[in-house]
Amino acid sequence: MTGQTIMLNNRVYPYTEGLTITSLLAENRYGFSHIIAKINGKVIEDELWPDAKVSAGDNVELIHVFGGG
Amino acid sequence: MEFVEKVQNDYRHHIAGRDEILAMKAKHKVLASYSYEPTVIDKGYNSRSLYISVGGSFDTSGQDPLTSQVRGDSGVVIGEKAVTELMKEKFVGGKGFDLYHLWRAVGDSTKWNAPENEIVISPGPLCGITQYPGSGKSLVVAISPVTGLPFDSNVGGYFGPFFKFAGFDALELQGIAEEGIVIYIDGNNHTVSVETAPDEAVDSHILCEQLHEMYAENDADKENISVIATGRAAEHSYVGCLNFSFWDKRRNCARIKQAGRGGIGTVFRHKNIKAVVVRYKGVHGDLNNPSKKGLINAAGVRLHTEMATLDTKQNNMRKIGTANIIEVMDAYDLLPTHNYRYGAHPETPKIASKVFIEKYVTQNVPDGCWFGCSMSCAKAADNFELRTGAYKGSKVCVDGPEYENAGGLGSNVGCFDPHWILEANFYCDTYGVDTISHGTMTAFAQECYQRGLFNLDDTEGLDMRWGNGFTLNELMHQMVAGDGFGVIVGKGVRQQKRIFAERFGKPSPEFESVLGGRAWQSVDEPVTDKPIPTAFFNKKLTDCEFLKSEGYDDEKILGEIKGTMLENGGANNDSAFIAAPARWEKIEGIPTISREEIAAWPSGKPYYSDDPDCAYTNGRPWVKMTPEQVAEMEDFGMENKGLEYSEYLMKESLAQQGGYALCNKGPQHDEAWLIFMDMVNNQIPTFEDKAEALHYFPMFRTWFGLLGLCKLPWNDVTPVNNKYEKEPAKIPEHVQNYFDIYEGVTGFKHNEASMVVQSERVYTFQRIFILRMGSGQRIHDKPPRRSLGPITVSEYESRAERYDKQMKETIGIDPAGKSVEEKVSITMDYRWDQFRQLVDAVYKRRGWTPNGIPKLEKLIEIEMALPELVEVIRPHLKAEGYWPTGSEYAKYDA
Repeated sequence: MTGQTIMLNNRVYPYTEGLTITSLLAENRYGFSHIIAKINGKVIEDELWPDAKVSAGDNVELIHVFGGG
Repeated sequence: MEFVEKVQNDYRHHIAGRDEILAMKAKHKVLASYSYEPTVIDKGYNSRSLYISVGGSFDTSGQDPLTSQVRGDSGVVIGEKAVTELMKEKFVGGKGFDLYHLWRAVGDSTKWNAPENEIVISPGPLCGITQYPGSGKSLVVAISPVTGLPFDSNVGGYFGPFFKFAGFDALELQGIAEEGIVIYIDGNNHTVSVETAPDEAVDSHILCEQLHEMYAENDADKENISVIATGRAAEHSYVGCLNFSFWDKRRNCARIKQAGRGGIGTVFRHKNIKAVVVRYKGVHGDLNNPSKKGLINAAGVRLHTEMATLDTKQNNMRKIGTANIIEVMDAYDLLPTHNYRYGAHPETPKIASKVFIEKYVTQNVPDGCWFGCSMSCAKAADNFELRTGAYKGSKVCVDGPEYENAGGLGSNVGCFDPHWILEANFYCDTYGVDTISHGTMTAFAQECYQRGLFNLDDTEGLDMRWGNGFTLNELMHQMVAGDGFGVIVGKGVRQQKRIFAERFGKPSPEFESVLGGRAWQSVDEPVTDKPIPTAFFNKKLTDCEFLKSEGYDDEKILGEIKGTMLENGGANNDSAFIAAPARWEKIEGIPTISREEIAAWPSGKPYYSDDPDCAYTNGRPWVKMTPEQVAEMEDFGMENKGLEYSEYLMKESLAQQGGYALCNKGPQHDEAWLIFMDMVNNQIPTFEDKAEALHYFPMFRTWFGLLGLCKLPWNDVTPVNNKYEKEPAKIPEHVQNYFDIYEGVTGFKHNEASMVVQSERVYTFQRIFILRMGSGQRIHDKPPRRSLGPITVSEYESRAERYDKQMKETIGIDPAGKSVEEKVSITMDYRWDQFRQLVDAVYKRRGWTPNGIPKLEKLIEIEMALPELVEVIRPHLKAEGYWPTGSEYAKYDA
């Protein structure tokens, strides 16, 4: 549905039908091995990412845990 | 077994036999020898430090008194000082003790090469723990050749723990020796000697082998020796590093870890110290005499378990160490490429971590740089055959690559051949050159050359285009020789800017004839990079089987690079040289002027002069650059406070721009690495959020430097439950581990607030120390323009979609119809304003004035209103109108 959005890392992001954590990672080319995924503040376990559906209006966090050398 | 036999056979050829080594030792003349009483470490402290003057005369009246001493030949003094309760309370140890001693040793205008400048080394009260990974760090401080300011650097290896177990909490090295010396600290027999060492090598990979052999009682005893050394390039460059050794009994060779940054190796060589050697036999887990051993053991078990179960799923530290992030940085557009123009490159897969793992770095060998470190990230490439230089043809052990080496010696100089990265890694280490500075200062010279700011006469034919691996190493060979363009490069970016501006301008037309008709040998025309797009990292290219099936052996990779680089104005990699211009004869009629006259000398008019900081010249008359050219270099010369930037692209993270420019010592990422939190995670969106992060993380990381701990086990593996934490970036479980081992050793409980205050005391002390030495104000925190964003058309065009979007949505200006030059200008004006607001917020959070001066109220709050500190800040606060009123402050106004 056009015009609908989610929040991704505190930024407005376009919503598309069938969005999941895995597809969001792919769309944004987030390939880092150490990411915490949350939907509306709830941690989504890694193995559930392919099926973790994101709805319009959701607040999604994909937090990269890395602090440099 | 095959691995062991192979490397042992190879590495044994590096040094002479034991008889020859003992003959070398027999030539030593003992200048001074000192015996000391053994101590028992109490809760992490020996409560005394070791002072050594290696010779020369200077004022020592400001120093704490020696409690005992001997005076030997050639002005050598060896003695002890007490570590007071005030030192423990206010300065803790490590970097804190270092700065405490350095402050008392130097004057307000002491230069790096003055005899009173000290190298101070301290391991910290937690250093030497064997139960918890990463507990073997030493902290090193000196007045830096590149910044002229107190500079700190941390390093692994066995020296810090052995030195502490020998009986001391800090080592002060002052003075300048008359000839090359070795200092030997025998921690079992409780003696210290200063000895001449006429025949020993200087380059670290040889010297460390010699000294492990020389001072060990037998082969098994080599493990009980650690050596501090540098190399021959440190004699002519300003970015000399210190190597701290440990004996790798599996490889049967000395390994080295680096206190790389800030040129402390240059200070070491200038003091004529070849090496400091410590021996301690008898390491066990309780030598710190800890208060509550159980807390340490429990924390250690927790982290060892995480390493065993999580590392392969997370960062692969045990396989490749910090180099695991090469491709990660590329994928997020953070890998510095072509002097920080870009953050990615299509050829990065050729230097991805998997290539190093499968082709170079030995696997399944424990590589901890201190006992008990299960992170084991001090990786090494064995039997590496060198192509150039003094050791050409030798098979050596390369300590690396660290991520920074791949970024600095690879992508940033346009070199995507893993062999050249490792060769430069090796030569940097053994010659004593900081790998990070070498990458950044070479990249700067490359860009100057490719912009046509100087020519082939100036480089004496060296090919300074992107990607020439021969040149990358030849520059260091020239630093060793003290002759050639590499000597100028070796002075670092700040000095390069000055030297280029004084010497390498183009003669004005009216003066061209005085050069005898010799043509200006420039590159055919200034090279403008084709914009390099955001590279979408091609994992297939990191598959070594794929590489092999495609014929990607070293020569094939070299050929690929040659083709691609030439297409983009790069080097051909057949040689370091593309011309061989003759050195210039003196030309009659061209005036010789003093250094004082240079400032008023016109641009474009040839002259002769001299330069005490860089005597090398090819004889061509000097010509000053135009003011426009000087300003151009300021934009892309990637240094701040004189230190070269480390190897992360910071353009898209305002917080990291501050993390670099507001770092006390200069732009090194060991105070704060906030790029993911800021740019990707968007967890710190406001100026206040960023300022809080730029307070907490520098304080937390300072704390490691007070205690003798390594940062890597903090967040290069993270607990399973970290995802449920409120502030996962802090890794709260690991922070609690550190509080536990702190309490375990010292007996004192800690929490976040008390930890931050402990660090603030030393951090603020260092800021005031820098202020005392003539820096430490807002103007000194100003970064180069490129660190904030795209400053050239090609940089903008390479990420045009991103920058246009930001202009429209963030800045509020429609980019349509505007030229790229206009868009660069609009973008950079906006970013400068953002940076200004960030600095305001950070200074406020740190308790500093808008000019960056720590306020008196802040010193009182953290109980650091020491008279000598108040004396430094008082005139600045009064001039800025921030001296507080009220009778309670009157006592500070004496």
